[in-house]
This record gives sequence, C-alpha cells and structure tokens, in this order.
Amino acid sequence: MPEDPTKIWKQAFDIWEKQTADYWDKFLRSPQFLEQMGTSLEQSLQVKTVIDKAVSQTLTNLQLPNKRDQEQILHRLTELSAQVRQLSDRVDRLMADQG
Amino acid sequence: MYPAPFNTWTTAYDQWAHDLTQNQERMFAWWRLILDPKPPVAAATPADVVYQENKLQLLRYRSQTLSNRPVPILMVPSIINKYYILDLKPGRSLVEYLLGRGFDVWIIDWGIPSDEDRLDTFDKYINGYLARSVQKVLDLTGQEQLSLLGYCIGGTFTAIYAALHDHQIRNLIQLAAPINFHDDGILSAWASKEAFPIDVVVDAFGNMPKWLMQTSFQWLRPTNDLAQAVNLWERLDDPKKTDDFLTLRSWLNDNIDFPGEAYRKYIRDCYQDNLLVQNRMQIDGDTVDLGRITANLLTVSATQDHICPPRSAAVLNDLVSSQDKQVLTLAGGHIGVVAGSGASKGLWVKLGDWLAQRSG
Repeated sequence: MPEDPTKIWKQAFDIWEKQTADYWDKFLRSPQFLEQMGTSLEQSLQVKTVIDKAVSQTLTNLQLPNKRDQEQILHRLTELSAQVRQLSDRVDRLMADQG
Repeated sequence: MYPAPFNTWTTAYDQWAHDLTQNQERMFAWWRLILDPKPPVAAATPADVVYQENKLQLLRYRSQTLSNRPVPILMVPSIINKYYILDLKPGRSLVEYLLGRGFDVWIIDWGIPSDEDRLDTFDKYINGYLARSVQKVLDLTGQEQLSLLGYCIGGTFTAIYAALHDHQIRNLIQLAAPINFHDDGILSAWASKEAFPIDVVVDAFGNMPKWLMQTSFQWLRPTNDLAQAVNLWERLDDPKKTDDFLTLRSWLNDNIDFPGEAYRKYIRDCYQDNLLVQNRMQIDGDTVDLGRITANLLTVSATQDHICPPRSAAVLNDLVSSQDKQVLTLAGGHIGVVAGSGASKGLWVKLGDWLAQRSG
C-alpha cells in the first residue's frame, strides 16, 4: 500500500533530529569545544569587567555613587528589614508563650 | 467494495485527503494563533501570601475541601524558573491534585532578584529564606514537622536543608533533584573548571543572567526548538493540546536570574568540586552530612532527563539514614515527569499515595 507521505516525512524528520542532536551532543562536550568555550567566555567577560571598572571609577571620581555602591546600600537595607521582621516574630512568640 | 489493487489506492487516497484536511485546519489554527494570540492562564489555583521576605513570597493554597491530613506540604521550586510549573494550569497542576487529595499545600515563590540581590549567598538561601519559610509553615499550622518537596535546584536546597534540620522534616520528596553533579550529563561538562570560569562570570555579571542560562539549556539539545515547532504543528487542530503546549512554552521562557554569590557557591561547591555527594559541603560553617537525613524519603528521577540524569538524583537514596526510602524512576524528561500530559496518571498518583500513607 502506498505510504502516507505525512508519516514518511515525520519518520525522516525524527531520524534526522536524533542524529543531529547526537552529533551536537558529542561535539558540545568534546575537550576542544570546552576549552574554546572557557577561553572565549573568560576573554569576553574580562573586556566587560574592564569597561565596567572604568565606568565605575569615573563615577567615583565625579563624587557620584556607582552601581556597586547602590547595590551594597540596597542589600544592607534588605538585611536590616529582615532582621527587624525576625525580631518582631521573636517578640510575638515570646508574648504568646507568656500567654 | 472494489477489487484488491483499487482498494489499496482508495484507502491511500482517503488517508491523503484526511491529511490534507487536517493540515488545512492546522494552517487556519496557526493563523488564528498569530492574529489573535491569547495569553496562557497559568498559576490559576487560588493562594494567599502568608509571608514575604525581600523578593520571596510564601503562598498557602486555598482548598475547597477541609484538609484531612495534618502534615503540610511545602514545595520548593527551582530559583531560576517560576514556581508555577507545579501549578501550570487547571488540570495540569500538581498543586491542584494534592489539594484535591486533602493535603495542605504551600509553595515558595522565590521572586525575581534585583541587582543588589547578587550579594545574597547560597547559605542565606538555605538557613535564611528556606529556614524561615519552613518555620512559618510550622508556626501557622501548629505542626512540628512537615513534608518538604524540592524540584530541580529546589531539591538540592531541600536535601541540604534536611541534612541540617532533619527534626523538622517528616517526609522528603526529591523531584529530579541533582545530588551528584559529576555525571554523564552535558551540564556537568560545561560547568567544569576548564570550561566555566565561575569567578570571572559572577564578577562580570553580578547575577547570572537568565538569557545565558536559557541559552545553555537550549544548547543541551539544539534541535529541540525545531522539534517543538513540529510538535506544535501536530497539535494545532486540537485546541486543548495547543493550549497545553503554549502554556508550557510560556513557562519555559519565563526564567529568572540566579543571584551572583549564591550561583558562585552552587557552581563551585556542587558542579566543580562535587562536595555535596561527598558530605563535604559547608553551610554557615556546618558540614552538610546527607547521612543525617532520617526523614521518609521519596526520590523521583526521569529516564530522559538531560538536566538531572537519573543516577545523579537517585544516589541520595544510598547516602541517607532513613528507614523508609524509595526511588521512583519514571519515563519522561526533566519537566514532563512533573508537568507533562502523563504526569497526572504517573507521578502525581504515586506521590499522592506515598504521602497519604505518611501524613496522618
């Protein structure tokens, strides 16, 4: 009986997809790729870091807070808020225990 | 009706005509999707926010029936994906299922970290956010112990937490949760010291950006997007299947940054040095000894899980001191085992039965 062309196409696609995925899996975990990936990532991010540091230093020289300064302050505020909440919970528990 | 050779061709013709009609319907459905896209309805189960800390919210789900099982369940999802994978949509919700079986269900919504949250440490996630959420559940329910369910990275968190605070845990459920990070999985290769300079990454980005993590997940199987497009095409003539597919795809693209310092420790201690499975990981100065876990343990792994290979999760069973422990290996992938179309007859039923026997 003549085959259903849709089924044939799907079977062919599934075979192609699996073989392609297997090939990429092998390539993407090969030592050469891993080494290249590490090197590329490190080099590109080091460029970003240098640029970020330059911008940060410029802001500091202009007596302006940089991004890291703001993050530190916001983080500290969050920590303080959490500590206040914990203290409040402890007080509530103590009062509940005292009845 | 017709002689044999003609029968064959008429059957073939009928099949081709059917395929043509079906593909025509799919084409119309495709255009309707493009011209009138409807946002998927996710996280539909009603819940109340009972506790907040920074970006974290602790949700308690409202049940239509009175809970007849006193031990509450606290679900801990991955911190890089939205929590509603466990409450995807009506009919595809583990939360909804467990509520229907009379459990008191809670969940942590980790929220979306801001830039300053890059300073949140891994230890703070365990002994801070998670610990306070557990305590809040116990305080509000009046129970001394709960069931802790961790999924993916959330499961790594819950295993660590259970090792440090075992007295609070009656039942520990680990869903596709990596414990041994040196495995055959490709993520293990990519996160190695040679391939992934973690300090350079965190110092440059702060929070690990979601787009970079999403790219790496896509590269786990580069042909997946095309395969998914073909899968979608095959479902387009079924509105329910199409909606299920699109809801899941929507969640897959709804990712979250990983706070920088937490990510640094996670990659270094887990992926690169594999300290957790060796019982050498330290949290706030305390050694995480998985052998201290005595809670009832159910470890679930998926046979086609590329993110957490089965053995990576199942190894926990060999390390704990629990008397009551079990490994459940189910067919499916990392997400499908929990939220796929077969989950409601597979994992959910087995999980519900297991918990029912241990939550009295």
